[in-house]
Parts: sequence; structure tokens; C-alpha cells
Amino acid sequence: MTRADFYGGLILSLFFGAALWEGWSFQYGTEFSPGPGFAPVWLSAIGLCVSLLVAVHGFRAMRNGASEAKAPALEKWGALRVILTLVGLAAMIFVVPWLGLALSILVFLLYLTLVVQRHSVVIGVGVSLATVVFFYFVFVYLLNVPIPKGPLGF
Amino acid sequence: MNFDHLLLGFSLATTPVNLMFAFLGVLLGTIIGALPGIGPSAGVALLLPVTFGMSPVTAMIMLAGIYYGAMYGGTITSVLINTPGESASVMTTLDGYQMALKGRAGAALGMAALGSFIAGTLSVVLLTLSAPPLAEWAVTFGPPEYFALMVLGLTTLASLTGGSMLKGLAMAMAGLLMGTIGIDLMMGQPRYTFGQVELLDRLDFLPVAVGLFAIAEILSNIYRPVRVEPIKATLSGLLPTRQDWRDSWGAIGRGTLIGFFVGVLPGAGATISSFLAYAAERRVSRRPEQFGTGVIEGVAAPESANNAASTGALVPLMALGIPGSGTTAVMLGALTLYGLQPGPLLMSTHPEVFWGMAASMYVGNVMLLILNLPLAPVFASILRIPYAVLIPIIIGISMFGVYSVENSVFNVAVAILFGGIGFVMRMYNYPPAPLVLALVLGPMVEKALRQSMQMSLGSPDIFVTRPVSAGILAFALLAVLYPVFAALWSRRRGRAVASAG
Repeated sequence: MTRADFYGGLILSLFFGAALWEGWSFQYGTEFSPGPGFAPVWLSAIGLCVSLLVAVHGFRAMRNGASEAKAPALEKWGALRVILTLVGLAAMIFVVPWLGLALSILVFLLYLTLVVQRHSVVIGVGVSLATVVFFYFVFVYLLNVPIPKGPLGF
Repeated sequence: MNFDHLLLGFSLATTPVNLMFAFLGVLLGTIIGALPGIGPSAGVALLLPVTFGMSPVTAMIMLAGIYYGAMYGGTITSVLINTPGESASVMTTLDGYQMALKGRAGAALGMAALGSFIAGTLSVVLLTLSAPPLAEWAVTFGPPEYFALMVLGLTTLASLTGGSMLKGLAMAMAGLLMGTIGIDLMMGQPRYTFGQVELLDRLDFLPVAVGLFAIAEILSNIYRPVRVEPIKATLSGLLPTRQDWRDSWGAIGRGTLIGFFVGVLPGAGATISSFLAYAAERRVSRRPEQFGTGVIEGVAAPESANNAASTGALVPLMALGIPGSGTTAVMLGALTLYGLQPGPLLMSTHPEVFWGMAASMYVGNVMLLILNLPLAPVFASILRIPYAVLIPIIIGISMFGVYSVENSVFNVAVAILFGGIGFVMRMYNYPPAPLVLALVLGPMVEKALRQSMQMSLGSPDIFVTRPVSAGILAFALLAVLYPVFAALWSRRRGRAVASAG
């Protein structure tokens, strides 16, 4: 258990607490059987207890000054690369209605390989293009999956 | 065993199409197993959408091939780069890499392939012998027994995934809770949908599984790139010597039995079985002190066990409809996507699915032996492909695959969201398998619970007054309490030793 477990336990407690709050708004039971609210209420309540226990264990480790209480330090550049990737993935979702699915994935892969991973242009463009063309062929032509099309007709 | 069913299975498994997809499955499984990081759960989840146009038999043949093929592939990285391709090959690194350093990489890979083949084939025999009677017995189960079985599966998985049991339980609760999202099937009330139309029809398990297993893995590699440098090992002499055989026969036999029976237990799986087989081998060995220095039985035992366990894990999946691991949870989800109702009735209503898959595993193990003996150097060369190049390919198949489940961009967004969550979970040791298993089982657990309570007119006594459900729930309680008591016991012993000292 680490210092991060204390904060992780608290975040999980908030999640389960919110689920419990919302769960109370569902019908808890009928005359002879549990209703739609039964499982959400019990699961969130148990989850809340378990996550509070995670937080308490983390807090005790912190207070005792245990060596393992230190959270693993984040590597700055690694974390930045992950954030840039997630931002790129989120942006990809937003541009699908305009660019279509295949072109959005291609643009994201170019961004990933050239900006985030810093590959050479040849490798970045080559891998991105080959990936999209191959999976477009598999899913659209072989499996007949209808995907949102962009201005270029694919 | 009904031989007519087995013959039916072989007639299906040996059609050209099914042979081709069995081959494709074991080939892709070996590659997935060989790539560090991408385990069988991510592999099966990523390739599941590709199977949508296939018949359920062909699809299950291919998915099972990926699953047990990955067990073979994991050995290559364990022996050549001292990094397990998937968690079930961790123990193989101890002696396999040492053998490679001594110039015996070929013998290590050869014995791993032969041991895996023997264990894989024997465990398929055990699967075909044990699953049908278990399913026949389970047909008599009612909702309380099913509820108890699913609780057992969840608690054992949460407590055996390694690390903190509390975190495993928290993830299982989160998965069960997410399983309640959507319209309640009994009363029609929407739950946790927050006005999103896409959530009315439940949260699909596949985007969550792809996010937690595959995208999170990719993000981990972007965060800390994997540098793979295989040792320049000679791969000649893949066939073991007579002495190697003498040293390994017992290890293969014991590994097979331990692997199969541990694999059958919900939640235990290939990783734990390989640990247990290695420990057992060391205990019975005449040279325990040499384990870890490159003894061949240290490779044969865990490799036999992890293959036998992956087959054993299919027993509860096919006979009871209860997955015991992340990978079998994804396979269970696949069955539901093909419109099949998993459970004991599956074998009587769709015998072709179980028997076709079981028969294909006999053939698939032969294919894997042929692939892994002469082609071991080819698979070893896969390790030289920079992982950074594989990242765009895996993201590409994730995006297209997740979209194609329901032709929904919303599902792609869900996969990305869970990719981010999964990355944080990995960083802080929250296991993803209990969450995926609970998400798949959640609706079934709730249905069984509510049906049971209706049967008893609202009394929870029904779970303890029926002997089978009471027995299974007692096991589940034991699974939760055992680690707690074990920790207390070891702390007490530690104190006693300290005070004696």
C-alpha cells in the first residue's frame, strides 16, 4: 500500500458514493423481490466500504512512514507523452463527423508517430498509411462494416 | 464421453475453413504471446471483432487458438530476453534465460514446445472427459446456485490476481456496478444512463476490455518504451537430448495435472498454476539448489502447467458459463455477441460449439508443435521489430474493431476513456481482470439474485438453505477470508520468531 492508495481509495470512495446517491433514486424493491435499485445500492455501498479500507490502509502506511508508502514518481516526459496521446485520441473522436472514421484514425496515427513518438517521416507516414489501408480493407471490404465517410469518400 | 459428439467435433474442426482459422488463431496467438506486454486477454479482445462474420464454431476455434497459442509464444521472450511475453511465462524466465546464457536456448525452447504440446493435448483429453458431465450436473442448478457460482468466480479472481485483495474487490464491485448501467430488464427503469441514449442498451464489454487491456498497455509503452534486445542465442539443437527427457518427464506430468486442476478453479488461471508447478518441481527435485541456474525441468514444469491451465479454464466457461479469468471473460462475452446463451445448456443446444472447439484443440496443439519447433527462430526475429512500430498498428485495429461491434463512435470513445483509466490502474496496481469479469457477469449475477429472491418471496435464506449454493458460498467466503487469515498468521509467526530471537 502506498500514499497513492490513500488518494486512490478516496477517489474510488467518491465514485461509489456518487453511485450510491444516484442508486437511491431507483425503485429499491417490489413486494416480493428486489427492484432496479437493489443491486446499485448494495454494490455501491460495499464498494464504498472496500475503497474506504484501501484509503485507510494507505493512510496508515503514510503515518507509519513505511518506505513503501512513497508513491511511484511519475516520469515527466513519459506522462506528457501519455497526455498528448489521450488528447489526440479525444480530438480524433470529435473530428469523425467531418473527416470520417478512416481519415480521422489516419490523422491521429500521423500525429502519434510523428509528434508523440518522433519517428522519421518515412516510418511515421509508412506505418500510419499501411495500418489504415490494411484495416480499412479488412473491416470495410471483407467484413462489410459501414463506417462514417469523410469528404474524400472513404 | 459421447464419441458421436467428439466425431461431430472432428468433422467440424477438420473442414478447410476451420483448419485455416485454427492455424490463424494459433499463429496470431504465438505472435501475441511473443510480444512483451500484449497478453492473451488483449489479443482475444482486439481480434474478436474480426470474427463477427464467422460462424460461432469457427470464431470460437480461432479465439481458443489465440488463447492457448499465446501460452507457447510467451516462452520465446522469457528465454531470449528474460522478459515474459505474458504473465503465465514469468517462471520460465528463471531457468529458461539461464539456459540461453549457457548456449542452450534451443533446448529450452524445444522442451517448452514439446512440454506444452504434451500438456496441451492431455488437458484437452481431460476437458472432453470432464466438461460434459459437469454441464449435465449443472443443468439441475437453479438461480441460487448460479448466483453462488458467480460470486465464487468473482471473489477468487479478486483475491488471486496478485497484489492487494482490497483493490481486486474494489475493481470487481466497480465492474458489477457498471454492469447495472442501462434499462432494467424486469421493471424497465433506466439506470446510470444520464440521458445518453447509447447507454440505455448497457455498457458494451468489448470497448471496456479493449480499453483496459490493449489501449492501457499501449499507453504504458508510450509512457515507458520497452527496449527489447534479444541475446544472440544459438537456436540449434531444438530437440532435447535423452538426458533432457529423463529430467523433464516427471515435470511435464506434474505440471499438466497441477495446471489443469488449478486452471479449472475460477480465478486461479495460468499464472498461478505455473508458479505452483515450478514450486512443486523444486520441492520434489533431487537438485533443488540448482533451480534458477538453468535446469531444464524448471522450464518444462511451468510451460506444461500454463498450457494445461488455459485448457482447464475452458471447463467452467463451457460447462457452467462462468469465466474464471480475463481472457475467458472476453470469450464468454464473445459467445453472447454470437447470440448464444452461455451455460450448461449450451452443450445440449449447440453441441457443435463445444465439440468443434475441443476437437480443434487437438489439431491446434499439433500445429503449434510444428510451428514452434522449426519456426522458433522466425518467431524470435519478431522480437527485433521495434515496439514503437507496433503501437500504431494496435491502435488501428482497436479503433476499427471497437467501432465495428455496434457501428458506434460512442464505443470508440468508451474504449479511449477506459484506456486512460486502465493506464492509471496499471500505474497504481489495480487489476483490470476482475473489473472486466464483473462487467460480463454483472447482469447475470443480478438476474440470478432477483430470480432467487422471487422464488423465496424476498427471503435471502434461499442461498443458505440449498446445500449446493450454501457450499459454494462458503468457498467464496473462504476465498475472501483466507488471505486475511494468512496475513494475520504470518504476522503472528513473525512476532513469535522476533520475540524468540
